[in-house]
Formats: sequence, C-alpha cells, structure tokens
Amino acid sequence: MNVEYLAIAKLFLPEIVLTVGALLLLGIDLCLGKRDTRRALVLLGAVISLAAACVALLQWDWRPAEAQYVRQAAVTSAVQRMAPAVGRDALTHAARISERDARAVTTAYKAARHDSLVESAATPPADGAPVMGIAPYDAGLSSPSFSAWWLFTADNFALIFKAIFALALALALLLSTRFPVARYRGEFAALLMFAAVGLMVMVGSLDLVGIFLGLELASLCCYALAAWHKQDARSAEAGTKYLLLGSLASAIFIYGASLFFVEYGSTHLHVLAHGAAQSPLTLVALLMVLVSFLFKVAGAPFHLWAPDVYQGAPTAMVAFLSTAGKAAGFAVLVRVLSAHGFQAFSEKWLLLFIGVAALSILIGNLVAIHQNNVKRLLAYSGVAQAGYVLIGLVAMADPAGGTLLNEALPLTAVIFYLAAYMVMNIGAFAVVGIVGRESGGEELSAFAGLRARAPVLAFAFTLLLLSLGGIPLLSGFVGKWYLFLAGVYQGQYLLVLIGTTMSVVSMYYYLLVIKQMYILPAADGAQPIRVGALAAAGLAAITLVTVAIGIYPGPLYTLAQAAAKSLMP
Amino acid sequence: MILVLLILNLLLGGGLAWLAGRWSASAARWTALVVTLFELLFVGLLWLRLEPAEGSPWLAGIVADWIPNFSVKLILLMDGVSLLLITLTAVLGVLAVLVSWREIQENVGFYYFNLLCVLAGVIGVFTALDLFLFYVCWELMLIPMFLLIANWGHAHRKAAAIKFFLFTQLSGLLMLVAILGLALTHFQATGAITFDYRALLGTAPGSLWLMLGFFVAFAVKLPAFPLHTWLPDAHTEAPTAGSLLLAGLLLKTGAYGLIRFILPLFPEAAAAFAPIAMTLGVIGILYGAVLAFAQTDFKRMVAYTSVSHLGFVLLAVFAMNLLALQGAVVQMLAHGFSTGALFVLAGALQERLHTRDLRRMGGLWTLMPRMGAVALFFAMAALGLPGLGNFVAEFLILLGAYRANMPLAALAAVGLVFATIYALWLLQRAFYGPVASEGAPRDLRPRETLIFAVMMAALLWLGLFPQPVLDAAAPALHRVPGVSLHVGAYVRGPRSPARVRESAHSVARPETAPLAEHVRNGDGSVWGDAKAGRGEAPAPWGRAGTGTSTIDDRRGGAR
Repeated sequence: MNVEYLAIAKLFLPEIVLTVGALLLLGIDLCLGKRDTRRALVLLGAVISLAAACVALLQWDWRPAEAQYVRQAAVTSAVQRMAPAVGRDALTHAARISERDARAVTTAYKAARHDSLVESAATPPADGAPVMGIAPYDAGLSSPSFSAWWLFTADNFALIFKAIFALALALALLLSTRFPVARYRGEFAALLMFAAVGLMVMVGSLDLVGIFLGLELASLCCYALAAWHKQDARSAEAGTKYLLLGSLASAIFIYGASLFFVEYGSTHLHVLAHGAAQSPLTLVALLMVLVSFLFKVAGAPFHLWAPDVYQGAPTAMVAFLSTAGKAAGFAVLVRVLSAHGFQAFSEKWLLLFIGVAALSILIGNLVAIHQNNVKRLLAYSGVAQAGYVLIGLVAMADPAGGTLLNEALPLTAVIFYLAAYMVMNIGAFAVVGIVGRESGGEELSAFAGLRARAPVLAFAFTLLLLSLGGIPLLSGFVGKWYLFLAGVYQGQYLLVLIGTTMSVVSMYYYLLVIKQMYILPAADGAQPIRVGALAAAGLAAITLVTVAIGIYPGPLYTLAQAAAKSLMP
Repeated sequence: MILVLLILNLLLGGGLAWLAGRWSASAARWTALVVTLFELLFVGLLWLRLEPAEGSPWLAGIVADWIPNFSVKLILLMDGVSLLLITLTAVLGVLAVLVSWREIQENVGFYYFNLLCVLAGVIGVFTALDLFLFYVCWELMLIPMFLLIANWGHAHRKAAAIKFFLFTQLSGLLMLVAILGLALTHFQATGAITFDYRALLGTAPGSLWLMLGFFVAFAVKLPAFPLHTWLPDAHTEAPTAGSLLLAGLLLKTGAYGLIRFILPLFPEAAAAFAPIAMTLGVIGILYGAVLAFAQTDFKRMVAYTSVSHLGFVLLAVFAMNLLALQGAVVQMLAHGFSTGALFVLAGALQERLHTRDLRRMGGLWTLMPRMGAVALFFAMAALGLPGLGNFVAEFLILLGAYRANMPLAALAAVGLVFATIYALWLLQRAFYGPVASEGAPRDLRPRETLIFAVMMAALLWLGLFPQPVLDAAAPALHRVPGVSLHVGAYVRGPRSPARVRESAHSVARPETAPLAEHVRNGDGSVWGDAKAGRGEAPAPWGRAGTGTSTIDDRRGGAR
C-alpha cells in the first residue's frame, strides 16, 4: 500500500478502529439471530471503544509543544504555498499575513523540512511518515494526502477529545448492557459507535466542511437513537424535537460557513484565521457558526431541546450525548475561536459568550430545582455545567493575559472539566438508567429509600452528585476550581460570582435527590435493585476515577495541558 | 507528621466504625470510643513533645506537595491557638461519642463514621495552612454534619439540615472566590501562583472585598448577627452529639478563621472594618440574649445563647488587641464546654421527658437533684460567674474591647446582665417551682455524670487557672500583625527599643492611642511580650517583611 495512505490512516486511527468495529458488530448481529448473544455484542462494542480510546492515547505526541507548533506551522504554510486554488486567492484577497508572519512561517517551514529530512533518515521508511510529519506535502498538490492533511489533523487536542468520546462510548455501552433497547441491541451499539466516529471527525477537522461532515454523521445517528423506543410517545417526541432543532442548528452552521466562503473563498480555519477581517459579514458568519455549536452544547437560551430529548431518549444514548456530544461542541468552539484571527473580534463574541454563560448557569440551576424527573433534572444541570465551561471559554478570549495564558490555563481548565464531567455525568445517567429500569420510572420518588434497596448504587450516586455540585476532593470540584481560577485571572469576577452562587443552588437540588435516597423511606413494595455485574464494575470504576481525580488531579491536568498547548496559538 | 496522624486516625477509625457497625451496633460504639481516646492520647503526646523552633510560631507541622501544577501544597501547621482548639476537639470528640451511646440506635456505624469525619474535618481546618487545603477541609466538615442532622435529628431535621448546608456552602464559595482573588493578587505582584498562607501574608493587607469574602464565611459559621438564622434550626434539630459538635467545634472554626486569616491577611482592611464588625458583635450579644430569653424550646434557647456568646468573640477579634484576643481564645474553649454541656443536658432531658418545651418542665430539681445541680453549674457558667471559664473570657474581652471602643464595650457588658436573666430564668422554669411532669425520670447515669464531670473540670480549670491556656496562645497571638499589644495579659516586661523599632510596621488605630499612652505612662513600663521582654528579637510572622510587630507603639507607628 502506498505510504501516503498509511500516513493518512494515521490521522483517523481511532475512527477506523471504531468504524471497523461497528461494521463487525452489525455483521455479527445479522448473522446471529439469537437474543442471548446480543448482550455480548454490546460488551464487544464496549471493548472496541476502549481499544479506540487506547489507540487515541497511543498516538499522543509527547514532544514539547514548541516542536509541535513548528510542524503545524510548516503544514499550514506548505499547504498555503502549494494550494493556489484554495489558499492563495483567499490570502491575496485578504492579505492578512503580515510580512513578518510570512517570514516566520517560511522559516518554520524550512526548519520543519529539515527536521523531517533528518527524521526520515533516522527512521526506517517502512514506518511511513511520522504522524505530524510533513513528508507527504512534498508530493505536491495532486497527492491524496494533501487534501487529508489540509482538512484534518491529529494533534493532541483532537486526540484527547477522541479518547474522551471513546471512553464515554465504552462506559455508555458497558452500563447499558441491560437497558431495555428492544430487539435491536446490535444496531443500537453500532449507531452509537458511528455517532462517536462523527464526533471524532468533528474534533479532528480543520475545515468547516470537515466539521460539518462529522457533525452530520453524529447527528443523524443521534436522531435515530433518540427515537429508539418507537412505541413510546416521549421517545418519538424526543426524536422529532431533536431532529427539527438539530437540523436548524446544522442549517445555521452551514449558512455561516457559506458566508465565510463568500468572503474568503475558503472554509478552512487557517485561511479564515489568518484572513479574518473586521467585516460585518465575517462577524455574522462567525456568530452563526458559534451559535450553532452553543446549541449543540445546550447553552441557554439554546437549550430548549435538551430536557425533552434527555427525558424521552434511551438513557444510554443520553449519557453519551450529554457528555461526548457536549464535549465535541466545546472542542469545535475552541478550535474555531483559537484561530487567532478571530481574537480581533473578541469583544463581540465575548459578549455573546458571557451572556450565554451567565444565562446557562442561572437558568440551568434555577429551573432544575423544580424538576421532578431526574433525567430532566440532570438535563438542566447539564445546561448549567455548560455555563461553567463557558466561563473557561470566556477566559480564553484575552490573549494578553500574562504568563498564565502561556500555560494555557483556561483551555486546560475547559478540557479538564469536560473530561471530569464526562466520567461523573455518565455515571449519574447510568444510575438513573438502572433505577429507571428496575422501578419503572425516573421520577424523584423512584429514588426513595435507595439506601436500603441498593446501598452501593446510592453511595455511588451520592458521590457523583456531590462531584457535580462541586464538593472538594471530588473531580467536579477541581474542575470548577480551575475554571473559576481562569475566570478570576481574566477579571471575570461577576461571572465567577454567579457561578459560585449558583453552585449552592445546584447543591440544593442534588441534595433533594440525596435526601430521597438516604432519608426518605422506600415506597411500599419497592423491590431491591439488581445491578448487573458489568454495570457494577463500570460504576465502581467511574466512582473511583471521580474520587481519584479529585484527590490527585495532577496527571489529568498535565494531559489536558499538553492538549491545550498543542493548539496553535 | 503527628498532625497527619491525628486526621488519619479519625478518618480510618471512622471507616472502621462503619464496618464494625455492619456487625453490631455496640462494636461500632466501642470502636469510635477507642478511636477518639487514641486521638486524645495523640493530643496528649503532642502537648508533651512540643518543640517550638526558635523564632517560629509553629509548634508542629508538615509541608508536602499535593498538586504541583498549581503549587497546591499539603501544609498542616500548628501553633498555640491551633493546639488549644485541637485539644478541645479531642476532648469533645470523646464526649460526643459517649453522649450518643444510647441516643443513637439506628444505623450506628454510619453515624459514628460521620461523627469522626466531622472531627477530622475540624482538625483539618484548625491546622491547614494552604488555602486550597483549608477550603477542602472547610467543606469536608460540612457534609458529614449535614448527614448527622438530616439522618439522626429531630422532627424538622431535613429542612434544618438543608438550610445549614446551603448557608455554609454559599458563604464557603464566597470564601473560595476570595481565595482565588488573593492568589491572583499575589500572582500579579510576584508572578508565582501559590496558596501557601505564609507566602500570602502581606499580599493584600487593605483589600476590603477579599476580606469580606473571608469574613462572610467565618461570620456564617460563627455566627454573627445577620447571618445567624441557620443556627437555631440546626442546633435544635441536630441529635445531641450533633449540637455538641456544632456548638463546641464548628462555631469555633469561624472564630478561628477570623483570628487566623482575617487579621493576618488583611490587617488594614480589618482595621477599617473593625467598627462595623464590633457593632455586629455587640448586636449579636444583645440580640441573641434577648431572643434566648423569649424561647420556650430548651435547645433553641441554648442555641441563641451561643449567638450571644460568640458575639463576644467577634467583638474581641476586631478589638484587635492582645487582651481581647486572649479573651476570645478562652471564650472559644469555655463556650465549647459550657454550651456543649447545656446541649447535653437538653438531650438528657429530652430522653427522659420526651420534650424540650420549657413550659412543660418545672420542679425537676426535686425529681433529679443531681441533674439540677449540674444544670445550676452550667447556667452559672453561661452567665459568667467568676471562677468559671466564661468569666475569665468575657472579662478579658471587655477589658480589651474597652480600650478599642468604649461605648460598644459598655453595651456588650449589658449583655452580661441579659445573660444572667436568661440563665436564671431557664433554671427557674425547668428546675424550680412546682413539679410539672409526671413519672419519675431517672437521675443522671454514671456515663452522663462522667461527661458532665469532665466539662465541669475543664470550666473550673479555665476559670481558676487560665494561665497555661494564655501562655499557650500568646506566642501565636503576638505574631498576628495589626494587633496592638500595648497591654499584655500575662507578663510584664521592660520597654525595649528594639520592639519600638519593630512596631513601625504595625497598623495604627488612632482611637486607641490616648488610652495606650495612658496605660504606658501610668507605671512607666509597658506590658508586653515575654520573649521580646527578655531582649530577644521577635521573630517574623511567616516570611520576612510582612508585618512583624510584637508591640504596638502609637508613636513608633506614627514616626
């Protein structure tokens, strides 16, 4: 096989693992008709997802960030030099690269070239090009690798999110082995896996079109998954709502992207980043792209779909969507905003983000108080959590933030929180799913007396809820601590104050659930709850990780920091 | 290392008690008792093996890395004030286990787990000097306490527990923001992130907003006047041991925070804020006393007396002189025993009479003479009878406050009259008069007698021989910057030019100047620091140049 194709494959290793796995799963599901095997199928899916996560982490680029920048700068410049059809027009049109920038890029390119020559001399050619290598570029515009490298990247930032998605997928599958997803267990798992592939494509893409590609793949799978329980009106409602509003968001996004194309002749982020001018059209386009992803992360006032979809959709899918989906939305937002050409408008979108952050925190927390359905409660709490993460994004805005920003604190905080949130929220939804399955409802009252009915489950859920509320020594607290620290360091005192105050409110409704579990007696005739062995193991792992991150956040922070630094400044 | 041991002993012991509780309830009880006795033993060893380093206020401690990415460290350090409060914690810990012996019958193992976790959190708060760690411990006290109230409390326990939790949590988060802001200020000044208390000293001495963030957290816990509303509910609804720990220890964490953090970190802002804080303290004293008088529920009444007594502490801290601070420390200990004992008494009465309603009590002395005597003793302690700890404390506080603000001190003294009224009224209603209740309630059991005996001994000791306590606290209090030490409480020393030079850093509080001058000229010498009096150079508080006054000389400050 051509070495170039191998090099391209390296950009998509986790995706390929998942896709092949999902197809395998579907194949087996088609061949085997017996129901018993289907549970094992889901387990197989979980194992494949775990493997994908491992692959993503194995691809991790351990070199210092500066070395990665040189390579990426070279990639960018090489592409721009070799692609008159795509890049040059736009560049001459916008002429945003100052002479100094251009020189720097050229120097970097030369350095990287030299580097790659040295590296290819040192490593046997059978290995192909290194992951971030630029060898394929020299092959020229016509090579297939060109478009791949032009459109996609596998930097640490993308990799950590791919790992997050794969882990979320694995946990969601592991915990859902006994969830009632009717007869189509194999398809269910496969669709979830395809959705994960879509999210992975999204975070790895450097072009708005690539992002759209991933977004649609993920969304289409999720629409089907939301309406999974065909007989259930709520599920149908969830599917319809999600389809309509999700398509609307996609439409807004693609409209924004087309406006970019009108202005610059390209939808590539590097072109946009270097070329973005303070024109009204650019601003409108940018806001459209941002808003469509604020919709995806369910930030208020774009959150209205979330409670209904969360309530009606199958719990396993909700667990995945509310964590991985949210993380993917934030990853794209970060990727778009970190393109430094957009920093010029930071006052404009900053205003949007501050508003959305404050609204999300306020609405999410205040409305959650009145929820009687725990899934809806978690949906609103998810809106609030999106608001907390947005504090970190707001803190990213000011590039002149001193040395702390060189340490990439805000972005690190965002990644850290998303990773921690993924773990604890999936755990929370898993508990809700298990309780819902056993007691036939997800109302608050279904949790009454859980301490007696399922002591381990109650204990795990309590820890997870406390972590979501931000109680120290649990991962949620450390995540919030970093986010608030970033906010304070950027002078966003008001936002941080709203965040802290509303954390108290959030503790109130989390305590309501804990009260149900620990203080109120179980309803008459309530059965003890059976927790499957797999789910129990997954839940134990989740709880342990939540506590471990809370007590010793160092390793995850280092990882998140490396990912944050790998984004081009 | 021994500080880590103190915390780990409680945490692991708590886990052990939980496990033992699955086997049998009494196993859990005995485990908890042994653990707390061990704790007491460790504290005793701590007293015996103090090795104060020359020039450092810290008597024991450990410093280690925790989250190096953010230079969050594991800093546990103990000075005299911490040592006294840790001792109080250990003693009350044993008593709390004993108090719950018969009262708690459900889910005993989990109960003791929570109880011991509260104690561990409290000891953490008293020793943690990395602000991150301090916040963690601050929150860690909260959750087990919440569970104690919510699970084993009385009729309205759920609402009370949630109210308690939200009040403390909200104020704690304000403190968190203030901590972040303080670290930011330090970062902007030096370019290094740290949460190390010793490094943060002198970072923002005049920042009113940051000080308020901390103040609100401590004022809620204390509780100070407008923020006290959670306290009567929580105290009333908590199980007896819960009330004992709340009154005896958790309120002290607020007072400790004021002394440990507000004054040293923000001396100038505190000085500017002092009149307001002292006024709040006096309002607390009077308001608490008046409301206590109006209560018909025994525990609720005692809860309001807490508001009143801790008003004295707030007054003392912001009087900002050594005399008052010494008084505050003694008050913290004495209140822990006297009010704690009243709560235990209330629990014992409730167990026997199944009510806390004072209107349904009366003539109990004839039924239970020993309990009556005990009640008389602790009521006398609460009203500040000379010879008992509270008297020493309130006397010192009033003396100190008088020098800082005469009208407020005079008003606070009125609080003592109110205290007399409510204490005597309590005795009158419950223990004298005609017998109101039926049946023959049992007099004190040996276990209860033991509990009360320990508390009586402690109060008598504090009242008759407070010198060791004052000596233990003094070196730590001396180093609080911004505190004027023109009147030392315990030893007289010759005036030393070195100290006058040192005091150039201290914060001027003009309104006290004439008084200070008067005292000094009255006998031609200055009351001061024993160590400094012997001519040794006073050691810096924390790091150099961040406020090293050991004596407050108005003129030195003015020059």
